[in-house]
Amino acid sequence: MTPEALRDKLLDLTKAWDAERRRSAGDELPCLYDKPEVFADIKNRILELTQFSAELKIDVLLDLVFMKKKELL
Amino acid sequence: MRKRLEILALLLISMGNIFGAICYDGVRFCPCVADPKLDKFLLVDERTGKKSDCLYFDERKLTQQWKRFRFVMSAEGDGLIWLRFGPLGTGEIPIYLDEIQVNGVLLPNGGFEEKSPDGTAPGWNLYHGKVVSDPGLAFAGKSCMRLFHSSSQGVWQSMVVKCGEKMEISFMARTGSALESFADELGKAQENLELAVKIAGSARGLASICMRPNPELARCVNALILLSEIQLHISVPPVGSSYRDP
Repeated sequence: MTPEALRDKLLDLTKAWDAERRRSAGDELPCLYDKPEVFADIKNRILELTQFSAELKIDVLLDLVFMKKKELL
Repeated sequence: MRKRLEILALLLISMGNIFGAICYDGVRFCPCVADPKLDKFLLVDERTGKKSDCLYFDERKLTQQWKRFRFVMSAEGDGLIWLRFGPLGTGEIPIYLDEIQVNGVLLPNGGFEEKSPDGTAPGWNLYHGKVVSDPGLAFAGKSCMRLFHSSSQGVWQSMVVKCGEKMEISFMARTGSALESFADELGKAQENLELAVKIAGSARGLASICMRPNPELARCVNALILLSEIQLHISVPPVGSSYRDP
């Protein structure tokens, strides 16, 4: 599974969340209202994902820097 | 002593679970004398009789439906005060404000209908706030104020008060959804991946790096998809089955 495909998968997930948010906008209480532990679980997973994706971004950036440096030498 | 404190902390945590602690914020209205050194007068909470140069009116529970909240106060002198509105909590889930009035009269740009290009509201000072223009979202008109991302966020503006004058401050407020918070946080990961793909695409030699499978990331995405399915009942097909956590 390439980063490009993973990015697309995250976009699908965001769209699905947004659709659910719109569907449930009329509910008095929003989702996970009394489930802070679940809220924290999901937030932690997202933070982990953000960290891994940031590491990948930095790896690619460093590779680009080294490649350009080699080209100059 | 330390052991006792640990037991007390555990007890409080378990009580929170029993009584269903919430992760959603309330709203706090905080009127303050703008310069207490210059204007030596106090504000009076008309409900409790409490006097201070800085009052706090808290409403702990917001729902997804707009609701008007009212607070009555008076001033014991003439001068300038700040009217500050912010979340009561961690600021992890957005809250929305609209139609801020004093004695039934809208404050200048109290409906947040005027909007600067950068999302700020003319007439208001704001920190981590943004005007959102969506007629389906606003209580009245096209726009409302969205506060998000920090417990210290808020909007405030100054007002001249006169000694003995009673003021009823009222405003509409509602909470956003945890799903907004999740989508916003996930946007950062999407941006990282987007940038990695773009950089790799711009340099031929790098494309191969970005095309390599990344099992760690894939496993993480699947774990999130699984949580979403189990806890939120929102299903999205997982990425390849070999990337599931054991």
